[in-house]
Amino acid sequence: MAASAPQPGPDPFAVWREHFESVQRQVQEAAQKWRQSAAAGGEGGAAFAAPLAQFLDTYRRSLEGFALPLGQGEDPLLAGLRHVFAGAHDAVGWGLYTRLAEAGAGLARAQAAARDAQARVWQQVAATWETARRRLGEETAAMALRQESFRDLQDLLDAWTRVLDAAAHEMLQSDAGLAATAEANRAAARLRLAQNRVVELWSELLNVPTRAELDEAYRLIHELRRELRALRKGEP
Amino acid sequence: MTPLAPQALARELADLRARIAQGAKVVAAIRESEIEISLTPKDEVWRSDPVALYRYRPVVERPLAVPVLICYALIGRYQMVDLERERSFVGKLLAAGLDVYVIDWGKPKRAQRWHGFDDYVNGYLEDCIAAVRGRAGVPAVNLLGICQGGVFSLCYAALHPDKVKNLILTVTPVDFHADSGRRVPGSGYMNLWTRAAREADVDLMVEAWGNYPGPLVGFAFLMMNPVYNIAKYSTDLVRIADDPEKLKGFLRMERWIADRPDHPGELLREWLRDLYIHNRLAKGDFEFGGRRVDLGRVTMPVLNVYAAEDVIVPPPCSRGLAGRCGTGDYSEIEVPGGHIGTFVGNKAQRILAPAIVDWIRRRT
Repeated sequence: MAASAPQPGPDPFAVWREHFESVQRQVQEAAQKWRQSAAAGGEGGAAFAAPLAQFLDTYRRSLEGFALPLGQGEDPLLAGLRHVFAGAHDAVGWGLYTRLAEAGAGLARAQAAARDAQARVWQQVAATWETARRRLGEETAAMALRQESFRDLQDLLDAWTRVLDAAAHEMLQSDAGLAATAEANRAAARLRLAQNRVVELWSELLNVPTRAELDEAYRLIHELRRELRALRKGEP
Repeated sequence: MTPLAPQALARELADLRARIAQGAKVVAAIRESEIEISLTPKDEVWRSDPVALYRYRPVVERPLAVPVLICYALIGRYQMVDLERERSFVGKLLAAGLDVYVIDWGKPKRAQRWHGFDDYVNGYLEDCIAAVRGRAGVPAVNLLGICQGGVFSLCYAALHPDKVKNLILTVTPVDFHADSGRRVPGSGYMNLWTRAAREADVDLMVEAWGNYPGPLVGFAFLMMNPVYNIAKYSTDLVRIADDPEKLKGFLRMERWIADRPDHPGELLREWLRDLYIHNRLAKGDFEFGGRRVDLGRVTMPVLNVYAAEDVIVPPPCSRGLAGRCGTGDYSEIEVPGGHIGTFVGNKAQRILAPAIVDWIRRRT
């Protein structure tokens, strides 16, 4: 899938400078509060807890601030570290682990998206079930008015199957049903791609030929065989 | 009508339990050999990669000189044409004196990931036809295509008309958009799904899966009729539970249904993108292997068989061939039943093989 075009963002250096200054201010404030708390005779965990929590919160928010200009919102610490140490990671062979971590996060996101897409289909299935239940109820009520009934349990099951089948096709062939099915398929394919990416990296790590490498080899063989076939048949 | 009474329900449930218990005994007693499919004797006469060409052993002393080559789809296996002795389409053709060959596409592996229409039509099918022509000593064969195999056959006939004496298409989609604008309940799911998708979705699917897994192909077909496909394992199965012959027939069909090969990725891309989404075959701009498939070059006699209640290939999609090919000898036959019922349904069985044999004989 094509990614959307990157939007021009603010100057990262200006943003970072602003955040550095903000962190500096907040750290100073936190330290000041901690000193005041200690001078007031506070001791034990309680004396440290509030300023420490505030300090950590400030630290966390500052990392988020650093991460935003990098376009990484989900894991600011990792994004910051990757930016700083990516070159060194690759140089010493640790970059693969970073990519594995990213692929793992991508897999988790794809799994969540696939579950959401499936849940939307199941919502429609539930609505279909309800429609069928209501229709069978109406049918049964009308039969009762005519003083009719089902011959036996099998007859009742056949009637249920008939109304459920009709409702299922209405749902599956509706625009909403088709859209939900299409999205579930897309999500399943993206999940598969995310799984492939993880396996690919593990294969690389274990020095096992990857799927992409095998596919490429097969593509080459395929093209050579086509050329051979054309030569045998005297085609240009 | 007597209302459902608790006592009657209890009796029926007891009867149901007894039938299920009896059914379990019947299933346990069925041996593997009793539910084998594709039993008509045949010999492998050619093979390349997973693809094999079989010749069924003729049952008459002098079969018709021009053989019939059956080209099945890659969605499912060719055994559908020879599911059981009593309702074997192939058996009926042989009994009528035809010399019958069939292509088994096998089970595509990763090596077939890049195979597309060019490989299947100008490669394997062309090689199979060359093998049949060589063995029979004839310049052209009777080509009988089924569903996707019908599309292969039609393309082949357009690209190599001199090697096809007569073309028989069965339940074959040609105009993939002929059912647009009319949603028939339960019909044309593949058309609806692909029209609801974008070209990028097809690319995503092929990129993600490579060869599309057979079980997913099977699931797609299950979803075309979800309620009855589940009901057949409950209510329908209970009805036949104490009938060994019907149960065996059920199991043979299940065996065929479960045997879904993976679908080659590139072929799937072309199949969905070029035909289902863009309808290029009917528009006359379907190309592969550097050549355009011009249906006007289909000048040999054509018999187009469609199923009246086909929900997989709606009849208008098959009948879309009329007026598009260049032959002056075009006929259509409607058979009762659905897509698969064309080859295994009792009513269709009485019509299909005799009609094809008669049509071929009148053109040989």
